Amino acid sequence: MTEKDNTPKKEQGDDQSTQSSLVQKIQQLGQSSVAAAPDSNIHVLPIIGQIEGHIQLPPQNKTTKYEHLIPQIIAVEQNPKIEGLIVVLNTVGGDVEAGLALSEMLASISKPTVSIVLGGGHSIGVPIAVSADYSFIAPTATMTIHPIRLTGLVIGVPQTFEYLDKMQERVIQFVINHSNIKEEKFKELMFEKGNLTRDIGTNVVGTDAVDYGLIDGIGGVKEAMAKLNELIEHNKSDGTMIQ
Amino acid sequence: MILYTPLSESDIFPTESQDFQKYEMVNLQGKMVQVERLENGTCRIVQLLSTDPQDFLNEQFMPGSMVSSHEIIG
Repeated sequence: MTEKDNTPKKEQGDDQSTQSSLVQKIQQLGQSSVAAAPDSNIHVLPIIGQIEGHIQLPPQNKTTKYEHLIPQIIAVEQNPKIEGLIVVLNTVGGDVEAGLALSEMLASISKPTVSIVLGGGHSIGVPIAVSADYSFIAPTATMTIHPIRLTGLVIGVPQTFEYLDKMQERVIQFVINHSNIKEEKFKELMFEKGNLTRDIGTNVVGTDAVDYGLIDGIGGVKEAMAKLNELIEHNKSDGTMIQ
Repeated sequence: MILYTPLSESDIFPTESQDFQKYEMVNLQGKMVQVERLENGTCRIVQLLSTDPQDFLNEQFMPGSMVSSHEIIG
């Protein structure tokens, strides 16, 4: 658009180049990017709705696509101006491999990360929540822990079951490595009967998630920002000491 | 009509491919946005894809706002 507007101006005012450059400036300043706020040193990664992986979901679903998030995580890691990342989760879960890929990416980022679970961080949202350096959960938020399953598909051969079992083991290992929950407790919650309708597993409410050691603390935006700033300061002071 | 089935709704009523084609990711002033192409040639912003919280305060990227097709790249 800018180019389109500028070309006629340049043609008319070759003799009045100073004036036209002024006009250009005014035109450019007239665009919305003028009052740009100072660059934020904290960036935010929202993970909302379903986590979409290998299969494209119909447009009426609200999804977070992992192919969109992975380059963003790389950009956050590379940009020296960004000092911390906050991950906002309100997800029902979704593709296990995509969720695990995101969790591994977030866990391996060198900058401080803090996650907040608002509303829900179900299913594969659990490893994503615990992948941050410090995790928060809103008191009313819940996390559903349940075994991996294929919706509506019948397992035909024992190999399929073994494949799913291995995938589930990867999820369990990731969660126990990145949170304070004990493997026995996590498995107990995962295979609990009678809590969920037509499914096994447990719906863990905010305060319980902290009691089990799954999440580090109860809190919302204020607590998460305070913690992230603290981690950034800690990161900076560590860096100077090495030098 | 009630369908008693363990299959998901999209398995029984497949989404038409044109529903997918309505939405696309485009570059608007260096930011990735998901837009819905409307029949009159303009686009409606559906979602802004950015990690910078300041971008979400920019009214131009607000979901629902209209952009003309020649403003976008891709």
